[in-house]
Amino acid sequence: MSIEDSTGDDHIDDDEVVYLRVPPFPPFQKPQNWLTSANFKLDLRKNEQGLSVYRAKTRSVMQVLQDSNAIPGSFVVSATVGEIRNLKNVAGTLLNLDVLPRDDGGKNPGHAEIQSPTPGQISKSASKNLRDLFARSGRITES
Amino acid sequence: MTRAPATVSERQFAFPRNRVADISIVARNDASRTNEPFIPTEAQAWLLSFIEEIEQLIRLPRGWDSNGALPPDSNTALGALELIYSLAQLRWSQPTVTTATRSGGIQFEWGNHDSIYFELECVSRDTAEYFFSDKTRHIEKEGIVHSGESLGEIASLIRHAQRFSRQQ
Repeated sequence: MSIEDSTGDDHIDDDEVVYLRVPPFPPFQKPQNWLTSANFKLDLRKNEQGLSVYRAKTRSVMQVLQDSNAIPGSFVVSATVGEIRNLKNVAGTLLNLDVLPRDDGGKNPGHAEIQSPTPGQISKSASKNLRDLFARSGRITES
Repeated sequence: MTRAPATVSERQFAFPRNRVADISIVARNDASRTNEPFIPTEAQAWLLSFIEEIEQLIRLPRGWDSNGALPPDSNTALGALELIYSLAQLRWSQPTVTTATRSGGIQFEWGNHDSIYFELECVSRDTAEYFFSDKTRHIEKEGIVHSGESLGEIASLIRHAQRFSRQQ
């Protein structure tokens, strides 16, 4: 558990790297290696407020991929917090995304959420541009 | 306004309820009549494989996203079939990607993430949301289409994006 999380620090520096875990693509998806904007959308049925990511300084790639919820074959993609905060749509308008620590009182160390100014909503533009940003890192796996 | 006959843009987001079964039954009957192996036309073959893809989506296990997401429900799947069937009536291009979304939608993509891109997400039996992005002209557009409404805007954006489709 990081000291920052457990002490309630609510700021993540721009130079921090965060990981987003992507489940293995289903066998029928064509092409199978296609990272889609669907990987960057909220689960509205669960009333998610933000998109789950993990702070690299607290959770290693291996820890993210070996989490009990992680499906074998998952991988991560990464971006810096500054890149997320400065993300713009193709028209050049700032999307005003932020990355906030959400470690559930230390029960989920390193967990954070990408949120828009309206929690619980990530626009289609934000999902697409997040997809393009994270795709630049390429797949990161345990090995 | 002069209305052109039966183009994709004139199609509406509407679908005969038993049409999915009809496609399969009619195609197979045609094959059995000639006593030849079933060789569907390209369009029939794609629609049949598409139906199988949708069937697999609704059978995704709970937590398929590693965060507890449920699979799309059968009503959304039927909406996706209706939508794609409506678009597939005339000239059109198959989506490059068909995938589930974590909220239970079914998403289709055309184009290229690096230039012109279009996504269509069926979010319920009678509602689909779309998003278009053109990095070369710095344009984004999004909207919603409901059952019974014209698919003209969507068909036009798909045609535009499909010219840039390629695998990553």
